[in-house]
Amino acid sequence: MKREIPIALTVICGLLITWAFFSPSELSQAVNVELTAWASIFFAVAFLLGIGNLVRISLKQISARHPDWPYKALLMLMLFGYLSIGLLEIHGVIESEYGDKAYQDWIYERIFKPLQSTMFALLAFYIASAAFRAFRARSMEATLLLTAGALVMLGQVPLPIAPPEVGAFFARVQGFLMAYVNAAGQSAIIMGAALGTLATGLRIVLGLERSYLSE
Amino acid sequence: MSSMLALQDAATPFVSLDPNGPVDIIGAWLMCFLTLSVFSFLYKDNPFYKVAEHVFVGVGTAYFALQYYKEGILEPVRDHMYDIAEVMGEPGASFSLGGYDADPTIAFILRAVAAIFGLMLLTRLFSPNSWAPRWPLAVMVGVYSALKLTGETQSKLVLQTKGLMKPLVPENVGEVGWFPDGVALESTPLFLTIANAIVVIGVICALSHFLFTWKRGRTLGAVSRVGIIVLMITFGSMFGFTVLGRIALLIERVNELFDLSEPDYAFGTPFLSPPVILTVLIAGTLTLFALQRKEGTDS
Amino acid sequence: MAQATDLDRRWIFLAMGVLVVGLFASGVSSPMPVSRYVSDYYDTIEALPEGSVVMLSADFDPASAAELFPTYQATIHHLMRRGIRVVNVATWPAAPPYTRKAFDAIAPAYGREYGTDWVELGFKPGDDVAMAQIGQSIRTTYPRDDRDGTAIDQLPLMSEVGDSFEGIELLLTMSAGYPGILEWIAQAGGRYDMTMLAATTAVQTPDLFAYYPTQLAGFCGGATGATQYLQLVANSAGTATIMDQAPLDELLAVKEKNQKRMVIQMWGHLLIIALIVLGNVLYFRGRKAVA
Repeated sequence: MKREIPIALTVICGLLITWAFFSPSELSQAVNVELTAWASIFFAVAFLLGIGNLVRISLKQISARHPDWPYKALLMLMLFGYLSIGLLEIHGVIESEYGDKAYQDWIYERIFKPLQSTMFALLAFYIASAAFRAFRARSMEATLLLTAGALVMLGQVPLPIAPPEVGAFFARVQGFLMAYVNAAGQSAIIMGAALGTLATGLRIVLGLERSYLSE
Repeated sequence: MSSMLALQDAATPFVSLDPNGPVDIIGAWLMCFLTLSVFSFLYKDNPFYKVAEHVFVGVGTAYFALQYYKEGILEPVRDHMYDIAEVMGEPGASFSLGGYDADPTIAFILRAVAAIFGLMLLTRLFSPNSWAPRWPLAVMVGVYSALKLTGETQSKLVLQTKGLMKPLVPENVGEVGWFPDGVALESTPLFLTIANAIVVIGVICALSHFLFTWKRGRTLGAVSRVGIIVLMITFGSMFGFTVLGRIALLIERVNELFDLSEPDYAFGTPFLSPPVILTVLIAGTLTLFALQRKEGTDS
Repeated sequence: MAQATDLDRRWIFLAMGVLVVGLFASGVSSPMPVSRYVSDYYDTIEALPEGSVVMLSADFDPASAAELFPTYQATIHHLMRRGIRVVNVATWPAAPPYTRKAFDAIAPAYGREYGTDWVELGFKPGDDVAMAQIGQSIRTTYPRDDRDGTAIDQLPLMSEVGDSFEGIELLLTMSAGYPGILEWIAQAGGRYDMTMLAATTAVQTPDLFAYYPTQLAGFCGGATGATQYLQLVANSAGTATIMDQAPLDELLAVKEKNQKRMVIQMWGHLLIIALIVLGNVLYFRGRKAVA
């Protein structure tokens, strides 16, 4: 029964959602609305589950005096500090004249925003390094890839340093590559992936795929 | 502190929670410190970066948790059940579920079951191999797969194929130019006929490259070879766009550092700005560390 | 013979850093020609009758705001100027602060009011599932708004919006990846036959050419698309009746800034191309020497 009930739940839920896709009846839509709300709730709970794991691992490292333990302590401080402020705001214990999320928003704007955007901005440096060290035109395929990449890069920006005809030329070549050749390649990739989704989805909905229940 | 307050422009407060006002002074220094600490990783992994990294994980996780808690748990469980409970006692009352008038008691029980399933999912924290978390997981997988199965088959197979039914003799030729204002080769019917043919042939060839059912003979090999060319140009285009995106992010960070160099944040001076001072401090500290380590190794 | 890979990569980091910081200080800018798909994005909004209702989904976060927030601001200007009303949703948890900030700064300048001209419904978890939920029943998905918890039926705008996107003319998304425009197309585009528009990060843009124009009416891709669209919106800004000039001035400043950024972007691209060429020249010379 440890596997049978979950498989039955997956099949029933999958079939109900599929039924609602094809049937406009109010009942099928109501079932659909309720089931998607359930999935959304579990999605949120699963995220909180992830935090539980993060806390457990960090506390373990702190108690074992791992070399990085002061940083883990800082992580816990920030995590629980922000959580506490947020919970107090959500439940109306603390308030500000600037709205019910003012404290959370301050931390979001001043700490989270610069950190997340800078983390991703670092990639500009690594792509430059990779361009020099890794992108080798060793074969016809690699040469094609790099040439197309360079043409797209030139066609996506204004070229005030060159005569306008040169800028227009790159823009057109880039436009042609993107709208016709790239569109064909993307279509093929999308259709291939959709066939995979269709096959896997059908296997799950019909109860044939059970790997998600493995230990 | 008082001298700092006296020096700053009256329009820029030292601390302010106003989301629509200018960045407060303490916020500006904090933003610069965190931004530069992350950039210090380009030199090498160091304590400044580690602090920034752990603050990011802590604050980010907490922010996401609060959003998921409020919008994913409080609203659809507590508030929703409260809304149903309000109408439950009334005679002949119904509760609308996507337009369907359901019996409030049934609607309440359904959501209560969802809440219990949610708790079952949480038991995974204490007992990873228990049967309980599998039930909500099974519901999630069933709902998610069915939505993907139906929605994506329609958009990525049916409508995608429909989109490929391109006319070989295009209509409205005048409107199809690449740049609307430009008179170009792209506007001619012959060009569009060839271009549309390229798309259709390109898709067939690229798809044939993914065909592993039959042994690749001369014909399939040749078609698949054309497919590789199409795919390589596609990957090249993706690479070009990736560069575009990554550099845009860097430019935005530099832009913000310039914005935070305004005299308001720099004690009223043009040079004592947070980015300059913090760059000197971080770079100086890292150089000192490096020199100390070198001395230690030499001795 | 020195190998190309022997060079400390920090020199390349330094070159990129100096280039961007140096060019930012110099401040050269350049306008751009507008691509067809960006003008389609603009024209689709322009063709909506005044008073129409659209859904605007904020599916991005600070990591992608550099590319998407300018388009977001310009789109809000465009919609507010045209008197189009907006139902705001989000499938990325970090997006709602941007929505609040941008609408509060822009909409009142055009005389628009919260509840009548725009509503904030906020974030909903579940990715594809959330999108399906929003499509099926906006009332069950969002019984209250995200601004101050007002019941959705008390917001005048929402009286015109029903389940299955009833009353919504157009779905716009500011899409940074997964979940984003591709999932919206799967869950709303085909199923409810919605007209779709998207602003996307550069990384996601190549995918969209396979959907345009059959499943996607127009799009603004990356910083390039953002700059082109900003130009279009800024050029037509003079036709607006505006009560407060400040947000419009900010839009023009954002356009200028983006045009300046595109020149830095050009030099960044030239640096990357130069690095690829140099890396290959050194590599092949090294190989020849070994042979």
